[in-house]
Amino acid sequence: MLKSARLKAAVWRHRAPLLAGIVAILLANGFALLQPFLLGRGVDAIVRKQPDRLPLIFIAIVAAAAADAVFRFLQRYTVNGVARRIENELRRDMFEQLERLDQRFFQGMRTGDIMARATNDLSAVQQLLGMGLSSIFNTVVIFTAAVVLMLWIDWQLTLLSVSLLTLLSLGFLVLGPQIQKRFLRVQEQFAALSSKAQENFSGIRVVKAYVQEEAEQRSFRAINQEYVDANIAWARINSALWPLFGTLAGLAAVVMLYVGGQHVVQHRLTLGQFVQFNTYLILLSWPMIALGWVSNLFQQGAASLNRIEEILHQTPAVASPPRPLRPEAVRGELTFENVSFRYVDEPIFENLSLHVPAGSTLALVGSTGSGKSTLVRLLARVYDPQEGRILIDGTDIRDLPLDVLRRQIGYVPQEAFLFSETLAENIMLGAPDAPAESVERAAELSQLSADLEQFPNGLQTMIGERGVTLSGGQKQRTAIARAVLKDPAILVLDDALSSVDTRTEEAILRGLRGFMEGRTSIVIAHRISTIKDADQIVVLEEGRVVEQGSHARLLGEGGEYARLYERQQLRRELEEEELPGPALGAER
Amino acid sequence: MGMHGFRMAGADEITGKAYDARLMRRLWRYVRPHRMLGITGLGLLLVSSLNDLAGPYFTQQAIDHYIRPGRLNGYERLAGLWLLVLFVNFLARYGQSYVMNLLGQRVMFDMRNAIFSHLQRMSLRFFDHNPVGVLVTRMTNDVDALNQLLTSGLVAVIGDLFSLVVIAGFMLWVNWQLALVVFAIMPVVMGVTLLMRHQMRDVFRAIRTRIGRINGFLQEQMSGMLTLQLFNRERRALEDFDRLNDDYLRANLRSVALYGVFMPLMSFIGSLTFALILWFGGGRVVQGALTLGTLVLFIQLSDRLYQPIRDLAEKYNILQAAMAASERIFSILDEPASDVDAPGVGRMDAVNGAISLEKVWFAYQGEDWVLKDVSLQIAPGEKVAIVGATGAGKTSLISLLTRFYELQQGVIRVDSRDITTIDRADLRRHIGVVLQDPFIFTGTVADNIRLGQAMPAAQVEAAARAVNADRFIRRLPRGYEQELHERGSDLSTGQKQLLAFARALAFNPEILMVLDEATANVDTETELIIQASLLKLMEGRTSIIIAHRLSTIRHVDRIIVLHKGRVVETGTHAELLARRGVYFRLYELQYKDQAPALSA
Repeated sequence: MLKSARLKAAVWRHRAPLLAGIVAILLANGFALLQPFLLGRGVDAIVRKQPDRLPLIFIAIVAAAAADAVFRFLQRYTVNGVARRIENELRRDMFEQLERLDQRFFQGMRTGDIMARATNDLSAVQQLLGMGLSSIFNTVVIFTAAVVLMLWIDWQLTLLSVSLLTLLSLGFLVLGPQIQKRFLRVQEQFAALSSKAQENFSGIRVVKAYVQEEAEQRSFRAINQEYVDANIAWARINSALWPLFGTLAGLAAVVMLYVGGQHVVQHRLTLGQFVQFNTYLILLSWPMIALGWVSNLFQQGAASLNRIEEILHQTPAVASPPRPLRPEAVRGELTFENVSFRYVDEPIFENLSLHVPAGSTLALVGSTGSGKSTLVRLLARVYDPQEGRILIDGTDIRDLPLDVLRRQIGYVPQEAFLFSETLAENIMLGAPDAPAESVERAAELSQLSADLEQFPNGLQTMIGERGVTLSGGQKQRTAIARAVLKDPAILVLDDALSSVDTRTEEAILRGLRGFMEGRTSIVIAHRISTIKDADQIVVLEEGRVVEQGSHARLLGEGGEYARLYERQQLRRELEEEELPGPALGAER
Repeated sequence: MGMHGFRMAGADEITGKAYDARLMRRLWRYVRPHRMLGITGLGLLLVSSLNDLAGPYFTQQAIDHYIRPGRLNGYERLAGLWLLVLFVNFLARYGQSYVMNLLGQRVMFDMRNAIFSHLQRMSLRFFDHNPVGVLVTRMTNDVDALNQLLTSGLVAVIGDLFSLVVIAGFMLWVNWQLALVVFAIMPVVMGVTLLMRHQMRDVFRAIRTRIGRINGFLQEQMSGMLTLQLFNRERRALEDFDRLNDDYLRANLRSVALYGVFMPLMSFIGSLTFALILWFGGGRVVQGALTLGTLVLFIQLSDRLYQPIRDLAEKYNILQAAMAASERIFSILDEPASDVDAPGVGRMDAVNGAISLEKVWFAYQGEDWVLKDVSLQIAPGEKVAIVGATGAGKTSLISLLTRFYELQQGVIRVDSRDITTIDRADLRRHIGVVLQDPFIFTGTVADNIRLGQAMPAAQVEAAARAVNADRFIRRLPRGYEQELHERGSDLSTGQKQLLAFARALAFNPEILMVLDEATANVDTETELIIQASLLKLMEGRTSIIIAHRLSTIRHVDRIIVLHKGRVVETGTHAELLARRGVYFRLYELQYKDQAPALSA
């Protein structure tokens, strides 16, 4: 934990408030220890029958208490504030890093796992910082100061009672790991319980079809019982913790009373000192407990920090080159040169070469898994190929700054991702400063405007989890508007019209025709109607180009493409056939 | 960004009352069976509250009767007695905490079982409308919030009130004048605490809402990371994140400041109190109206008097959260069970397997008819394939026959009995269903075949052998006892399919319904095995196959063509092809290409 360079740097960055906090801790403890001393003097004054000194002592105690409170406030405000600030910075670093990481990272680590690190682990580190920073220092200060004062008063009594108090720290060190272990089991059982419920609810059809409700209740009961057992096992130890502290502190007080009382009678101690001593013991018990607690938190905090740094230390597999080229204007000529790529073992492409002249349209056809989407993802550097290169206007895309490259590509995926913002904000994703008219034009071009009246606030309608849910087709059209507004040199439609009906598709294509003029386009589609006008149609099969040419030419060849065309014609006929009876709504 | 984080956090927001008598009465029904534990815990709590007075009391005794007079005979007895009280106190406190945990766990156990059982009786419509995640949260987090109420909320409140009364009473009894001096400060403590509670509640709410927003944002950005990167939105997203992160920081700093004021202020009031006691009491000791021990006793007790007041304020939040949670839990329990039979339904033991649909209309929602006036007769033992384009209403047939959903118009009969007059568990026992997604449960392979049924291993294995699942199962490291992962992620699609067949066969139903989706990513060999197994499964049963495989279609007695919710054609493969109607085109579209694979 202390080895973490990041944490050291953070502590150094906040050295001013931390230093102020340390000074506050010193002063606060000084005034805290002064009060029992004054109390002792008060008791002595009473014993010596000098009541006229009491008002002065009263004022002195209140003044010390006030100073104690002020510095205690400063301590909490500075040190705990720094802990919160470091947490804030760590969270920011994490998000910034996540934005830099590439898809390979996100495929290797589940979202739930990343979220756990960003939430639970971060709060474990924060807790340790908040508790740890002030506690350790506070305990050291008050312990040293109090023990010195006590030794000065009565060294025998000090050794006896303080040795009992150190048991408080020990108590946590001994019980803490045990409690922690059992608590982990509680958490595991909790996860098992959740999974069981989750599985049952997800598989409820099978459960009902096989009349397994009772069997499921039985097995849920068993898991429920295990969870309860784990909790009770935890409670068996955990319930001992605070009573144990109370008893140990009490034990120190009994020893103090018994031995201290004798010392008073033997005049080795005044009654005032006796009371003073007693108060010190009470004052010390919490810091001693906290010390044990913090050392316990330490392990968890260190493990959590490790998990966080695991993400922070990842190197993105795709990044801008150190010395990038800055092209003037992009025309959009694309060349794939002997590109080989694999996600893991199975090669997707081997030695694939393709050329798309600037301003022309390339259509990609092929069955699922033939590599169409991968190809366009390589172009946007979502992944880099293992061999070969991809050129834009003759420049290797890896020599371009990442943002410049991506700026030039308007990518519309099949599964459009929309953020929980307004429709307009979603369209403006790649062009945040676009004027309202442009946004409207883009929405019109993508035929989204036809649906706008369905939404309560038109383009300003909030969508997603906390707003309107869009249909698949509406999402796709939003994504198209988004790509159009970006005004890219290269437009990529990756099966982007699959969820809109044929009529809308035709309208969108009509609208896009003007837009695509002068831009390079790559269109991936299953419907031949989408692509038949492309300059170049490529049929991919298992990463290989099996047919290439214009629509007319490929039909003439009578190959895979021609077969696909024929089947789609049939489907179309079938769909258009209306049978007698009322045509009612969408079907399931 | 505006205020759109609001509703999400609002789902778990605590806004309600901290005490709701109606909810408490319902909760009491769950606590009642375990009330002895509650009473024991409460008893132990009272014992330990009394014991807390021991320290100050023994100190007073020591000072007044032994130290000041300077006579120490019998002093060991006093120390010994205190040790004994300490020991008893340890036991009482430990016992109290343990017993209350026990109580909480038992009540939660019952409650989770009740919710789970209740959900088993809900219809599929209910599950369509309630996301799985929400239901799981009700069973886990919300129930745990209630547990807090039992273990640390309610009882602690009673304990705190008791301590308050005991300490105050004891003070009055020992010296009422000095007690009044201490009580004079009480309104200040209460005032500060109440003010603080009010402030803290707002701050806590802000903290919860804001961390919720951060996590929601994070989750969303992570899912949309690729889009974000492709549109060069990193910087702006980071700015948005900074805003949320800084909002959260500000709320936290406010809580740091509030606590920073509150805690030192309380300890200042504590010091003020003992300084007052020293001043007022000191004079009286000198006058001989008060013993020194009593003075020290008061100094030590005054601190303990404030503790319960501070605690009570903190308990308020726990109570509020628990009330909100119980509200959500009861709203699920109040939902009427929708997958249960009306009284008077009949049993069904033996089944011939005749099925008839008479003028059936069905919609999942409103007037979006999925089936329109469908009538069908299927003879016992007959094998029927239902074909049609996607969206033709094929799958809803399965849902209706098993009564997963209720039809809106018409009648479905099994052996000429209206299925709504048959005990639905009985009905389902006679119908084997193989769904499109062969759902695999966590557990062994054998468990996945026999599910919860007591079934001899021989029967399980026989079923697996019959559908050719035996071969791959035996190749697993632990064979039938192999543990499968969640959702069967360690099996291939084809293997899962075979396992689902084995499951259906093991239950040996008279009627079989199969959603025979041509499985993607299955190699030819497995495909052939699946085809053969399916035929095997259909042997000797009335079978309705929602068919996508040509091989299946060729082996049935009759094909029924559904198109846009209506039956448009019926007949054998050859007859229908000859008609050159909808089936002919469907065949051209979907099945023709499978022909070579079949002949292989």
